[in-house]
This record gives sequence, structure tokens and C-alpha cells, in this order.
Amino acid sequence: MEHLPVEVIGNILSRLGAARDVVIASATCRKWREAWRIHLHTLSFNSNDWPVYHELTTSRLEILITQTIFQTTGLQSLSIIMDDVDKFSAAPVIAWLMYTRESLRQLHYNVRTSPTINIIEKCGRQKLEVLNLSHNTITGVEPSYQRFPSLRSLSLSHISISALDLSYLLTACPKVEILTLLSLDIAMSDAQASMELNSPSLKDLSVEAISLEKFMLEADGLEKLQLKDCTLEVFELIGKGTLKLLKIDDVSVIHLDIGENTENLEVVDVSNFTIMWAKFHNMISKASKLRGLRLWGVVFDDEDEVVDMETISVCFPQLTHLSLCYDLKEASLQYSLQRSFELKNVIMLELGWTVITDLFSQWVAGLLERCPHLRKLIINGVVSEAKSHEECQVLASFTTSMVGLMRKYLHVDVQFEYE
Amino acid sequence: MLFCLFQQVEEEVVMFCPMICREVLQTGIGSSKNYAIKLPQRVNPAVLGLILDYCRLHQVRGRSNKERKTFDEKFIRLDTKKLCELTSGADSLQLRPFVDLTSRTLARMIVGKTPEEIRDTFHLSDDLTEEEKLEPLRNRTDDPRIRLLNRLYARKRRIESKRNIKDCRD
Repeated sequence: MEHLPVEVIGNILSRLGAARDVVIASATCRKWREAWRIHLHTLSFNSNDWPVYHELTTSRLEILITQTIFQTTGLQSLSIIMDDVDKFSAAPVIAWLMYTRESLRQLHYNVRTSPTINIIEKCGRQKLEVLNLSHNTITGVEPSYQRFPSLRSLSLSHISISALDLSYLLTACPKVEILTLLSLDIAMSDAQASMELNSPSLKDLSVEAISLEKFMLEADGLEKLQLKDCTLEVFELIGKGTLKLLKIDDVSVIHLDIGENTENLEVVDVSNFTIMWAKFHNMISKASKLRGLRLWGVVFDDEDEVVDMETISVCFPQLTHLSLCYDLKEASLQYSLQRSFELKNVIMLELGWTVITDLFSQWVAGLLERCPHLRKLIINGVVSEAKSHEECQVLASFTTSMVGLMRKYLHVDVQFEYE
Repeated sequence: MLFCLFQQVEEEVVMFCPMICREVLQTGIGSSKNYAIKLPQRVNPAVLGLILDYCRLHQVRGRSNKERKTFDEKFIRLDTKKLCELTSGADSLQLRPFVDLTSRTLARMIVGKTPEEIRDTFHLSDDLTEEEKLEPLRNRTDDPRIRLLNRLYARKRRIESKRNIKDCRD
């Protein structure tokens, strides 16, 4: 230990994360004290780290955090996550942000302040690379002088912000690559019904629990798009066809447009969604490089529409992973099983039911036949709590047929997951 | 093959260390026994051996991430003294990923211990005075920013107490 330079000790202490552990370690010897004072770069105050945090009054906690932060120098990553604190006073929060302004690269903060302060304005902006804000309000964004030249990752959750300020904020971050929006309270002026975001550097967008009329995103470099639990009328992506991953889960959207150019799509994952097959097919049919397709718990707008397996095999010849779970209809199932098509490259097949019927085993058998290079089969089923006699019978006959079926495909690794 | 501390070492492995790489490229050092690469003081033969093992596994292509992870896990079960020597050596060779790996392990050994226990584990000398040990917990009022905060708090308390008096009277 004597040989370790004090900067390396500072690095080790920084990995402890929790402020309390770091302070305890700093009370061991002179060298470690110096490491904590001068070379510590990461400090975290998280209500989950230390039970005593819950017992302190808010003002005592403010003092504790202030005294601890003020003993460090050049802090690069500051994390203050206090789940059961209602509000911090503005003065200490401003003090923490101003003290770390010159060196801060990462900020994680989730407590409201009283009176409300503009965190964007007060925190260090020059070197900030990661900003993770929760339970706060952002107003009055001035993109001309409040710029974040180094910001790569921005995460806003449970934040109140206007659509205009959010678009200004994105403009103020010329290098942002990852944007996560969770449960935002978006204020719109009467004149403006849509939220329009523009970011040429954005690669990864994740939106959850947002409700809007119109959401337009212009992102020429977007590679990953994930929408979850959103209610939108219109979602439009304007880009240069760089999208590789599209994931939609429990989203209600009337008009979804990801652009004409879908050639680079590699994974499409749609779950708990109402599809208009023709429209959906139109949207992804040009994705000839598609490797993974998941349609789980999807419902068709038109009763007569079905997932056309033959079209899937033709449009996506490089498909390796296929996951399907939707209501099977007798007529359409028989029709598609009569067609001769092959899913040549599929190595993983995942099939599921929400309500099991006799059709399911026929479907599994039919698909197994058409995947000559299959290596893994996963059966995913929902078993209801109140198991009726009929359901038990159907499950039993399914099990019997599976045993017989898998004897023909000994090289396939089969796995069952029931919930 | 490069010459290093009277040992012959495979070139690609040693070049994984940025510091050595720079020196070799700039000065041509390591080409012969007489012109061997001089390693920093903190890198003794045992440490060098372990570092080379690490470089070999992480540098060589064809090793899966899983293999590397298993290797790392076995590697870090060394005792604290060895780990400290390794961290020290790797730091002087500027081998960042290795320093991160050993630092993370050392940090895990510190968590949850009292200062006395930490001193025992890492053989640290108890060279802080009693007063210095209590310092982090004391109210430091000499910092101008803390004084400003205290003034703001005092003002807030005055306003609150005035409001309380007013409420009582009403």
C-alpha cells in the first residue's frame, strides 16, 4: 500500500461510491485523507446506501451533504438520489452545484427544491457528459448561452417542461447521443400542438409514459428507438434510414411513421400493440437485413388480418430470431400451413400463448418444420390462476404432443417458460 | 520478442501497455539484451509475470468475453498485498483497464469496514491525530461558502420565527 500513489488511492476510493464509506475510509490514515480531499472524483449520496439517511431531518441532511462535498476537490461525478426527501432548500443545492461547477462530468439528481431553481442554469455545463434529472422543473432554456458542449447522455424523468424548452435543450446539446424521457409532464401552448425535436447527433431515444398529440423527431443518425406505454396520435421520425432497432411496447398511436428508408433495421420488437397488418408490413418490408422480429401480444385492427408467415420469410431472408405470440385463428392457420415457405436462417424461435388452444401445437409443429436450421425453441405460456378442467386438458394434450414432436427434432434445445 | 528485465517477452503482449509501446516506438528500446526495456521501479518480476498473463489473455484474439471474465474473476482472488502491488505496477505502466479491475476489487474489500479494520486489512499506519480523525464531522465555518450558507439559514430562521410569532398573535 505504501507504494500506491495517492491518485490511485483516490481512484480506489472513488469506486466505493457511497459517501459514507468514503468518509470512513478517509479516517484511516494521512495518505488516504489526502486522497479523499484532493483525488476523489466520484461521490454518491443514495438513500438506499445507509439506513440513517431516512432518520435525518431534511436540513440535517442538507448540512451533511454540504460538509462532505466541500471537503473534496475537483469532483467529477456527483449523485444525489434521496427517495424519501420531499424538498431540499434552494441554497444548499445551489452551493453544491456551484462548488462542483468547474470539474463536474456527471450529475444525477432527483430531489425537488424549494423555491424551484433552474438546475440547467446552475450546474457546470462545459464538461458535463451525463445528466440524469428527476422530479424537477425545467423552464426558460436559453440555447444560445446555456450550452452543453460535452453532453453525451441526457435522462429526464418525472420532469415538468414545455415542448419548446425540450427542443431548445436538445439544440443546446450538440453531441448528445442518448436521450431518455420518462413520464414527462409536457406543457404545450395552445398554438403549438406538436412536440418537435431535432438532433443530428442522437443515436438512442427511449420514451416512456408520455402522452402527446403529435411527436416529430428529426434525427439523421438515430439507431435505436424505443417507445413504451405512450399515448400518441402521431409519431413521425425523419431521418436518413440509419435506424437499427425499433421497439414498441404498449403504445397507443394512430399514425406511426419511421420513414421510407428502413434498410438498416436489424431488430423489430412490437408488443401489446394493435397492428394494421398492411400498414405495418409496408413500414418494415424493405428491411431485408432484419435479424430479429418479435410480435408479442399483438392484436389486429381488422379481424380478418393475420401475420403472413410467407411474406415474413420472403421479406426477411436473414432472420435469425423470431418471437411470435398472438391469437391464432383456425382458417388462417390452416392456410398458412399449407403454403410452402422456409425460414432458412432462423436459429431461435419463441412461441407463446395468452390463452391456450389446440391450435397452438399445430402451429408449433408447422413452424418447426419450416425452420431447418433451428437450434433453440422457447415455449412461453400464460397459465391462469383458476385452472379450469378444460384448460388442464388442453395443457395436457399440448404437453403430450410436444413430447412426440420434439422426438423428431432432437437437435433442437427446447425451453418452457410459464407465467 | 522484446527484452525486458532480462526476460524475453512476446512483442504484442508487451506493446499492450501504452507506456512501453511509446518508449519502444520512440527509442527502439528492447531490441537486445543490452538495450532492454527498463521497467518502472514499482514493477518487480512477480508483478510483471501477472501483468503479462493479463495482457496475454486480453490481447489475444479469439478469446471470448466470457473467457476473459472468468480469468478476471480468478485473477482478483489474490491477497490485498499482491493486489496493491499489481495496481501499483499497472498504474506505472499506464494499463488503465487493469488498474480499474484491481481498484474495483480493492474497493469491495473496503466497503462496510470500520477504520480500524481497514487499517488492519491494508497494513496502514495510524498516523492521524485524534483531532484530525474528528475533523470531517466538525462544523467547518472557515470556508466562505459555508459562512454564506449559514447566513442564509439564519435569515430563513428569522423569517420563519417572525411568521410563527405573527401566527400566534392572530
